[in-house]
Amino acid sequence: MTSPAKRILQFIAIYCGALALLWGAKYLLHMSDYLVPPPLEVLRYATGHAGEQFLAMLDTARVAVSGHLVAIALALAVGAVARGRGTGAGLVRTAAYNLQAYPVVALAPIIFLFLGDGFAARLAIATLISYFPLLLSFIGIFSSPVEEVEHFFRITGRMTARMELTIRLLENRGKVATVVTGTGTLSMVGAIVGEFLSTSQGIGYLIRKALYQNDLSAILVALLLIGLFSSLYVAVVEEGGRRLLAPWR
Amino acid sequence: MRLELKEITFSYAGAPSHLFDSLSLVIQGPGFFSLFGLSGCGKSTLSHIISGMTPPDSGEVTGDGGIVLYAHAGERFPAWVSIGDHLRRVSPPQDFHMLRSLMELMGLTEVEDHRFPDLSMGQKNRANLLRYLMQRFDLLVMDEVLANVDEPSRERIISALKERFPDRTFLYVSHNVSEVAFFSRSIWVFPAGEGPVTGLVEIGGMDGRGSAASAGGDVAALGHRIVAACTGVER
Repeated sequence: MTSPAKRILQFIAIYCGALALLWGAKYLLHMSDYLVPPPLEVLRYATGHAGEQFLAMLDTARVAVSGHLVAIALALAVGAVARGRGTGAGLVRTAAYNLQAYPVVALAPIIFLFLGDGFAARLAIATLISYFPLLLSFIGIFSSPVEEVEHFFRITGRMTARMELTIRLLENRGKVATVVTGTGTLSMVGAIVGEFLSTSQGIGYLIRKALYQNDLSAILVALLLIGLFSSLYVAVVEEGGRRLLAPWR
Repeated sequence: MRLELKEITFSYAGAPSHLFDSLSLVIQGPGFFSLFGLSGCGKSTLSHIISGMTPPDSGEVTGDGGIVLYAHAGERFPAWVSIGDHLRRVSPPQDFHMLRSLMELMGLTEVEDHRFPDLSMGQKNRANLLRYLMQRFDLLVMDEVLANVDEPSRERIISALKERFPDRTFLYVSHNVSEVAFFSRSIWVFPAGEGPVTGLVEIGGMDGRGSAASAGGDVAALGHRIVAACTGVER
């Protein structure tokens, strides 16, 4: 079985298990249909709103993937600067460690103030959430010499900054692949959080709307779509990384 | 090439005593020289000091400004290129004919399209030594660079080095006593005993004269002297 199919099946199994528990609890504890809708109602909602939810999810996925790509590029660039021993590099490292301590929801109001509540704000939040783990990993990777490979270039005077970065990135390709894959879901979380907090687009916005209407059916369907898209994206990133790095094993 | 170590003192951080104390040594090239000693006696550390990679605590390393390179057996090529591509990238284009000829000598022609991780340990050692030979250098410190290469190939390669690079200086670090005895002009032996190394025992080698087979008896006798110098036990 291919990696994407496997991931999606694993998610569906977990999702179905969670639904079974929820409905089990509902009937065992005699919860009202208003609090936990019965299976048929959820199914009715899903068939009636599938198009709207799917389009919203696509919109969220667009933000998440863009945010992830921006975060990777930004973390690579800042990580490359922060690997040095100079004052500037030290400052960048300190700033990176301090900034990542702030929860993004605390920074979100500033983002909405300056960028409004459209695509840019959602992109910024999706980027920030996946950026910090990427940055910390890249700083670590770029700051650790791979002596067995670098020695020759250094002693023969052939070492350049580009060569050093390439060596460290490719020699740590396993770690890079892991952190890039792992942050894919974070980026999705960031996009949804941004939408939930203060926008009128995406699946996060539909969840907020459902929360105000106490509509658990809408939330359950949204969770299914989020899980499916996240699993698919992670699997695609994982598979892409595997194929890209296959020549170097 | 002349390189002089004057009164070198060195100790590792946290070590209770010096590794080297007022150690002096003169390498007057060209030629093939060896460092010989028991494991852990400080051969690699001294090689690092000679190469300028590790500064001594005191003393100085002076020379005539020649280029000193240091190669060791643990090195790897970048994994994203084939060894042929890498060797061409790090070799001056005007020396490509020499590269081709050395690849044949090292038995690497058939694997030039392979990536480094796909090579055997011996091939890795040979490819690594080869890329150093393609560089500009006056002294090449070879720290167990052929450790995983079979004995006949090692002898063939060292003979060829001496023949093809008569104007260069090689400092060979090895545990193979008969090899250093036969090929070296001089062997510097780390002496037996506790405490810091204050000087090396210099023993004249055979400098590759005659064939290894015909010189067998002489090599064995010389080998006994070298081993006795580093273990303190006469055989």
